Amino acid sequence: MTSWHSRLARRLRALFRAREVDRELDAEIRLHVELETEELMQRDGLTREEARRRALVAFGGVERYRESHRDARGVNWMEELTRNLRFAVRSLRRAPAFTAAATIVLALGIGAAVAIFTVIDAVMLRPLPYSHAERLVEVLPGQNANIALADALGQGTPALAASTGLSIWDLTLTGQGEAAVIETQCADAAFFDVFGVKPFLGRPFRADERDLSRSDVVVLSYGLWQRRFGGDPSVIGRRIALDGNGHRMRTVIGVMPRGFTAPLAPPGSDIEAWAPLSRPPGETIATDSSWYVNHIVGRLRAGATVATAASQIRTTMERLSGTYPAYVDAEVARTAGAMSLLDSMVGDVRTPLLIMLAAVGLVLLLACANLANLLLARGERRRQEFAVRAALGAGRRRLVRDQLVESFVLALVGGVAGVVVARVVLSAVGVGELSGLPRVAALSLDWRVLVFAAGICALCVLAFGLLPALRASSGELKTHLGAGTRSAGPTRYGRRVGFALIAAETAIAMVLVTGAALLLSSLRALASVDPGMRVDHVLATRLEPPSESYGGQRGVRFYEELLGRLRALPGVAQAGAVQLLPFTHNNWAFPYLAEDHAPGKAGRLPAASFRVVTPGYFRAVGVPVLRGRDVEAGDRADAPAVGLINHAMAEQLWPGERAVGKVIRLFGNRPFTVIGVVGDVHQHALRDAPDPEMYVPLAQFPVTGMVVMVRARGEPSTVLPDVRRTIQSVGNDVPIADMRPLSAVLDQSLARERFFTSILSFFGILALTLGAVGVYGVMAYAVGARRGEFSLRMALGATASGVMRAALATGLAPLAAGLAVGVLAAFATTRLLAGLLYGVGPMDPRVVVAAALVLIAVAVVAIGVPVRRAGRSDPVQALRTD
Amino acid sequence: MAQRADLLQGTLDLLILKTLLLGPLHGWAISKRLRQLSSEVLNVGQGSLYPALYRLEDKGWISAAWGTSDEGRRAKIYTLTAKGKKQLAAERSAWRNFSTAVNQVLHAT
Repeated sequence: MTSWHSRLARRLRALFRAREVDRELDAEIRLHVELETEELMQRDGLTREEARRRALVAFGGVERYRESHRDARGVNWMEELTRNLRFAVRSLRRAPAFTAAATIVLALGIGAAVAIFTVIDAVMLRPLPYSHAERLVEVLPGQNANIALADALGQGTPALAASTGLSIWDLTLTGQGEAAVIETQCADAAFFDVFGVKPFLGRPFRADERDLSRSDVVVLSYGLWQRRFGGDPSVIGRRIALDGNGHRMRTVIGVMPRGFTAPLAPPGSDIEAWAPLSRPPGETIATDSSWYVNHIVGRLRAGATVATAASQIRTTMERLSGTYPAYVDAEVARTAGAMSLLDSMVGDVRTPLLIMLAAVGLVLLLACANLANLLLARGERRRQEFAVRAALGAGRRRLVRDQLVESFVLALVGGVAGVVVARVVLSAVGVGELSGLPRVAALSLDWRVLVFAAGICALCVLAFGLLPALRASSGELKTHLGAGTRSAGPTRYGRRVGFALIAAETAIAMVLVTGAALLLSSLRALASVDPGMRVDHVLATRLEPPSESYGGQRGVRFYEELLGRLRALPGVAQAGAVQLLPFTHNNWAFPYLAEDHAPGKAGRLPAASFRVVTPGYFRAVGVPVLRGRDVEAGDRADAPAVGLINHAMAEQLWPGERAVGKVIRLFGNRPFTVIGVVGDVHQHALRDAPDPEMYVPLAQFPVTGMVVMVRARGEPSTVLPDVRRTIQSVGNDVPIADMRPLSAVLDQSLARERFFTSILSFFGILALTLGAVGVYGVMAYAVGARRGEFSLRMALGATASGVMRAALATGLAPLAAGLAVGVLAAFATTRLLAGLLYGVGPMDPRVVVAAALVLIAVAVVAIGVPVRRAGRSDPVQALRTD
Repeated sequence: MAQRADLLQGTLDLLILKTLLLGPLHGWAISKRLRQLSSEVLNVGQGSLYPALYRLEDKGWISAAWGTSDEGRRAKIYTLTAKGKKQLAAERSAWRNFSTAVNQVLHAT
């Protein structure tokens, strides 16, 4: 009958409607006393006054009774908690310096932890913004896949309900205000089923729009529709000039829902339209000359697992390698598989992020150690107070509880401040641009983050509060009643804990500083890698002219004129163009057959990176022509086909021979003569070795989109307005897709490394500071408490340096122990960093020694200041005070 | 100290339940009935009666409602619940065991 909820309801009533309950109680008492009075008057013949007095006496103290009744109601612990809280707040306010120090330490520690966790939450924990996103898998064929292969994989995998290839194209929008480049995701009709999305307006792609002749349709993003088309619904069915990927005009067939984010969009990109992946009908895996797809994504059937899908994909690839041995490598087929989409998106950042979380955990531990130390010292100072309170009858539990409530209040204040710190830091720092991490565009503190923050605070209370609380109320309190205000020194217990703290803080700081030092030296090694070009003073401008007016030789003439005009600008030293921005993951790789070499088995051709350049490009970006000659104006469409290769390719194909003059057949059937060999460039990332590369002149391989490189005589920004004006005057319908200094592009390629390095360095510095403060605190307290002893020694003839040596010895022993443990722990943990490191081993002795030296230097200062103070103890003064 | 209080408290609970077995009563009537039943020997400290009533209500052994007393006054009237009857039976046998044991010890020599 009285189930737990009605009992709870009674409790809550008792708590929140205490007045009412008290009133009922009063009525009950009044009735009792009245009835008792009447009974006494009747039975014993007493006067009303006398009867009433006896009735009250028999009842006992009404107030006392009320209290015990309230206790039975279970109200008191709540009231007592509020009282404890008030008490704690008051006692913290009495020690503002301590409270401020504790709050700052906690706010930094908790703030850092919350900030890191917010990033982890956004990147790894939040589900992808698609319905049943856990069923999305990325199909990994293990090799480049054309559309025909992507289709075959989808059909050969029964575990997948639907699948789609994905690739990204830059289309050029004209006729709707200023010409603009629209990043467009090309996908199959199944895209909408795979990602569980319906257009907000209009319809999805139809299966027959795969056919090249019917694929001139487009679905706009909500944002693009609002911005460029004024949110006009009649745009559906309209033909717009959206040029590229085989079409100049496209029919708008739909608008995506607001807030739909393109899957697998590269960081920094902004996909604003969707178009069908298209190819001529009737092509097979062998004959499909459409572009490779970047990704293949499928949706698992209900009940199917990633593992089943993976094994089916492997089987399909192995079967295809039998049918198309020249296109599907049997060996590669065995590595084919599938991965959950979220895993594949965040897989390569998971380890570094978890390392950051572990690092921030250590920082927090340091913060807690410091606080525990502060509380211990404060507890030692307050032993007198505790002794008095214990003598007055406060139980041990009560003393422990008061202390814990104080810690709780501190953790709460620190936690709130920490969340604020995290918020401010995250919104002030553009994590998205800085980190190059996926999915961090909109960081927000959601419930997971807040739960994490609350959990951290609770852990902190236990970590820094419990020991001092137990300690402060333990054992020999009575002795402190007798002791004077200034006791002989800290108890042995206090000293032991203090020195354990020094050792622990040193060890933790050692691990963090070593990790930070490793990443820093790795970043330095990376930054000092010669990229292969001279990036300073170069302005890179990516142009996407519409192919309608700039297709074929018209584009070649456009770039020729543009480059000529740019070279004539006063601030410009050199200009040239290339079709792909270096230091990004954009890449074209084409199969080729080189002179003196035979095709592989089953007629397979090797592939190499392929770039289209104009005369002047190598000079503009400072890539040396090592042998032979550069591309020249005379290498026109009707001239003999020529090209250059890089040093790596020359060494690979013709080691020790002259490469110039050899013939390479692109696709096995488009021959060009090698006219020169250029230096290697780290095109993709500084940490990757340069790939073999081919360069051909634009006039002989016309493409419309190019990156114009202008080498300025001064800062690249000084020529920016002139360059922009020149582009507009040569082609006013040519949109500028991107314009930045080449050095910024190179910097961006190191964004992730730099991000992780700066975070870990920050943690390292934080660890050093917290560690130093902690060590200083312990030492200052120990020395301060032993001042009497030191003074006595000096009065008895000890020298200042002797006293200092004694003080130093007490600090150095735990420091050495902490260092030793820290070095071992660093050796054990830095291995986790191995994947992030470049040019430095995870146990590089130079780095470990450097980290230890930094730590020792800081520790010596932290220990040295209090020790010097010990040496200055005045024998007379100190003896007098007790 | 705590143990002694528990024993007393448990005994008081048992007595209240027993009293209410005869019918619903308000607080004063319970204390009076207790006195009568124990032939004036047990004068329950009235200060501990009401907390006990509250505790029993909280456990669901008795229920309380505002009504009119035999004397025609507004009073909070307590009734034994089914759960309370079961508890009473259990406590009675426990008490019987306990007092038997005490008697045995007392009369052993």
